[in-house]
Amino acid sequence: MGVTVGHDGAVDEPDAPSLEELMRQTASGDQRAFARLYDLVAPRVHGLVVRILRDHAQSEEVTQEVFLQVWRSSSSFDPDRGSALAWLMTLAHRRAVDRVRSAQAQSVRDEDYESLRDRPSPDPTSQEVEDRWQAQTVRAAVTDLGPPHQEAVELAYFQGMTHREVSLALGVPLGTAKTRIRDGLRKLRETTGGAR
Amino acid sequence: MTASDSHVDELIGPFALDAVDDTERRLVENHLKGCERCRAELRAFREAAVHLTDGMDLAPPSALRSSVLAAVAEEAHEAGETQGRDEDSALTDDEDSAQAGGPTGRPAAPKEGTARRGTKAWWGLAAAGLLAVGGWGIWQSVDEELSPTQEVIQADDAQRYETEYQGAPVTVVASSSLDSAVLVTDDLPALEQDEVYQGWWIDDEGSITSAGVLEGAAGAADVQRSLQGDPDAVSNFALSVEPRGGSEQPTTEPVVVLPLQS
Repeated sequence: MGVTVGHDGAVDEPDAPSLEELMRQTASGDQRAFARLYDLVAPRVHGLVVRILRDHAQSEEVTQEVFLQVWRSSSSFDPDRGSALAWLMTLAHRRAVDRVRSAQAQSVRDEDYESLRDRPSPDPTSQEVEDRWQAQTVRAAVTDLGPPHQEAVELAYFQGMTHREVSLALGVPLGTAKTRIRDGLRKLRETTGGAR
Repeated sequence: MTASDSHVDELIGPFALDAVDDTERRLVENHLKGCERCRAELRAFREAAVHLTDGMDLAPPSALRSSVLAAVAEEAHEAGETQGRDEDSALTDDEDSAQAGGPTGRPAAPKEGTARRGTKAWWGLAAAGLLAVGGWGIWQSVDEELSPTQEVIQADDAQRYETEYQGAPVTVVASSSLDSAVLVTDDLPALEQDEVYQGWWIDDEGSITSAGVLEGAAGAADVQRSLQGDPDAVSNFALSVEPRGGSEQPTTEPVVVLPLQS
């Protein structure tokens, strides 16, 4: 997978080791490699976590959890099975979404699914960040997907909704939500050249 | 597996974005073990999904960096004393995650030296054995994530089998969909220094296989241990006292025999 350090724009150092190499060193217990890995990917990880949680304090907690988990499970990363960045972002996304869902489970456990359309409003201190994020996201890769796919992918990825919740939020049948997410990802794969 | 595989295919997209519920997640994970095509699609989707965050970088506060690196240094220090890091969280004792309604809690926080320390490596290996089933690697461990014991305990099809030993609760929680079981006990009677509790599976024909050595379980509170082996294939769980390191076959009479009947 060609997705490496330069890809996220975080570094320009010509000799920077690839994320894959840093993961390998981290797995062998190299704390300096881990620190380097942190420096390279923390902004992308944190950006995603904030985008999903929309709350600074919680986002910082989750970002920290993500990196501790990276440290602990770096040895299970296998470069033959995908890029380090995809591995890291998968892990980060899962953890942020877990946090969103467990918060929801407490607040809306017994309520109608309808309530999921009206997510709790973000904490006011993060509103500014939120606004910036909205603006930035809209011009990100996802905009190339076209409205129905973009909407479905965004609700799933950035709101942490299940496909069932996406179908309710969009007022489309269950199967349609699933298909839109899948087709959205296929399009994204093509437009980003991520197929290989 | 209950749903048809073609049905599961449609969930690969949502699964790649974590847009599935826990039941669907398990369904997909099971399916992936045997379907190279879906694994390839999942992998491509996950690579593509990275681009959803293009341009969204937000540097975390620098204090966070210090705190992460300090935590890692501490864990590395501890791990140095126990021969390597592992998925310590198999030994979850995080009550928050138990309460949260899903295997969603924080990772087990790095602990100062405790009685659990010496057992980490062993059970870590056992847990790794359980998680590595199917061998499709990294995503499996990402998805199954930090709390295999909670995963079992909170599985939709979790069956609980309870008994007591000298006042200590002994509970086996087994999940068929996960092919896994967890032993939950609290304050088992103390043993001699050179003794350990060892779990056993006994099948209908009386053949006995080890479910793992419970180092450090004696006298410990709120023990949750992943058990080796497939609970579906057996009819009883037993616990015996064995020499430190465990035995190939039980060398003493079981102190607990727990029938597993649904």
